[in-house]
Amino acid sequence: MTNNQFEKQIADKLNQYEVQPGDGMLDSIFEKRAIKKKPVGMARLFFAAAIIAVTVSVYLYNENGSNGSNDFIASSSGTAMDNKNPETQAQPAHVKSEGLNQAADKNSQLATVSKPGPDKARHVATSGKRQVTEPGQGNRNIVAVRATENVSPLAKDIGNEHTGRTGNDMFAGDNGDNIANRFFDVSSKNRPNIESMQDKGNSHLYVYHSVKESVLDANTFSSLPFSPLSKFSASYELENENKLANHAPEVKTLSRTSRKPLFIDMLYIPILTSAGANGNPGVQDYANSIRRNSFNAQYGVRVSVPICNRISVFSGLFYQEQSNVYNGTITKPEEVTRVNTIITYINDPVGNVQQVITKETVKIMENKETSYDYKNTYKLFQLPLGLSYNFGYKKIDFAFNTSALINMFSNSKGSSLDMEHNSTNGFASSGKYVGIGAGFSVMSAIKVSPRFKLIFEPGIQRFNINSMKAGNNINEKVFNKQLMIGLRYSLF
Amino acid sequence: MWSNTQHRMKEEDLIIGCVREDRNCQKELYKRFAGKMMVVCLRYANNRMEAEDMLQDGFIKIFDNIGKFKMEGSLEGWVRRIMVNTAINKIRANKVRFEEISDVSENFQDHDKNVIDRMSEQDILDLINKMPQGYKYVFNMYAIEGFSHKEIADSLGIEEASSRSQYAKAKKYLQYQIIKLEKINL
Repeated sequence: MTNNQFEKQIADKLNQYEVQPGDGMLDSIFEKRAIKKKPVGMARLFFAAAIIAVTVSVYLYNENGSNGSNDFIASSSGTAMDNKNPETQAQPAHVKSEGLNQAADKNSQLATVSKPGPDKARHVATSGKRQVTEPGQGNRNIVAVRATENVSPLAKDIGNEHTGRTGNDMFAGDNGDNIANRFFDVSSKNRPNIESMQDKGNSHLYVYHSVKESVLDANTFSSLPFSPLSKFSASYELENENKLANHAPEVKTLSRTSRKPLFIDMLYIPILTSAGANGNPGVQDYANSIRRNSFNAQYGVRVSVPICNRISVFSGLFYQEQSNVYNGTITKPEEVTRVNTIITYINDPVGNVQQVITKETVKIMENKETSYDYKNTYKLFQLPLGLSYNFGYKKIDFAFNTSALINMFSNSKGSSLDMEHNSTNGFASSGKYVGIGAGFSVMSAIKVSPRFKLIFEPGIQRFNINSMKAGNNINEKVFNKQLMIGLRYSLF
Repeated sequence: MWSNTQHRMKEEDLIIGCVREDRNCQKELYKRFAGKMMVVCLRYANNRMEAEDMLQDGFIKIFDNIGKFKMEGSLEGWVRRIMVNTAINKIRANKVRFEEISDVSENFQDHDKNVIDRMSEQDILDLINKMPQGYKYVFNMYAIEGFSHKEIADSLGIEEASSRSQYAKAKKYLQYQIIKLEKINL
């Protein structure tokens, strides 16, 4: 009988054989299918946690953004034209200069200017950034700061000086978002021009200047029953106004509390792993004596949001195939049985000299060397929850990142030491197990474009793998030395 | 030829019925394959209860995924593959231990060729179930299911060489047990 025939015979025999399962099996199948719900596996929980982390980050970002918008409205919308007030009519330059703030509805635009008109010289001194326009052109000269940024004190001066009312008063009853939207409802062709931009570390300041006339004409005054600009016939003091026009806008570093960007890091992480054993005193010392470094790679996404001036929080999701290598020789004292042969001679008067062989069995301890070469592998999903301390130097961002790591292991397979038999036993498990760890890294990010930065981030990680749950006879402690390389995308 | 076509048509109707969640068709499918699939599960499980669990999970998968069956191949082959995968997943979730046992030296080829024919299916099944876990899984997957050693290694998370050596030892062990049983019966 050939070997193949043996297998074929067995297979044929068993493939034709039938054993009926117990009664009620079919009913229980139907029942189970009916109530079957998709189990919320660890992987799903993990992804859900990551999604929640990202969602919360985006929410925080948006929350902050909307606060910024409100700030803007409050500070910059305080000006309006009152065509009925003769004093206001006598101050054409003032009214014109605040044309950009005319995003309010008709009522708002017709609000009373309560403060008597200041003289032109004073106004010029205060605002300091006007451009001169010809009467009747409807041109508006303004310094506008993007909604999410701090509003320039200039804008506040303008608003409050002429109306004596706050922006909130002006837009009472109107939805702040609508106002902001109306204000910024500019298509690409009408979008304000960026006059200057400044970056330092994580700080970004964009200053917009000189909104196009067509935008203001169309949006600002369309609802008025008359042409407001035609009323302003007073001549201008071009000299002063030119000074203002040439005045460089004040660049101010924005505080993080008023404007929080969201950083999305896409990272590839080569890792040098040192794994060790613990949890089983009988084996761990032997395992530790043959542990070796191994190379692993991790990749994933990290999202960070500033929470105060220099501190930010981050989370993300990383994946890697962790492999821990054991290779070496273990020397272990073992009891061995040895047979000692003793040869003696006796002088037999009959048979002359005779040889007598005596064998004695003794048990002695002897060092035995055994070579091992195996590796244990795990699929690892990692969710870091951490804090960063950020600072900048020239155009480079730096951060100290420290994080708690929530790790989920699955698809564990490898070998465990069997010191009793000087061999290894295989283990494999698709079970999912959770462990925790900690990480620390130092990030440096170099700007490569306005929104992208290149990240180099050396760091360390320490976590345990509860591989005894997966069938191993030891747990593994992992110490990773890693270099994160990736791109940071800044979302404003 | 006619009967084959007719049978094929019936099988298609059965599948279509199962896709439509027709309870009678599902019962018919179950009746047709439950007995054979129970043997598959018994080969992998440690006891009958575990085998019934595997069978139940396997049939749930079959009913859930019957729509994915392409009418090109054999339905039995497809059902068997799902059942085997279910069993393998189940054993992987538990701890698989690959034990070594002392070598057996008796040569199977020296014995009667018809020894297996004379044995009952249940006896063979019992012998397989008495093998150490590692032997049993590798032998089942290689000799009966027809997996390659690479596939077995991937499925069980072991080295391909380990699968080969486990199989060689399992086969030798089974042959030895068959000879032993034959001697007892004689």
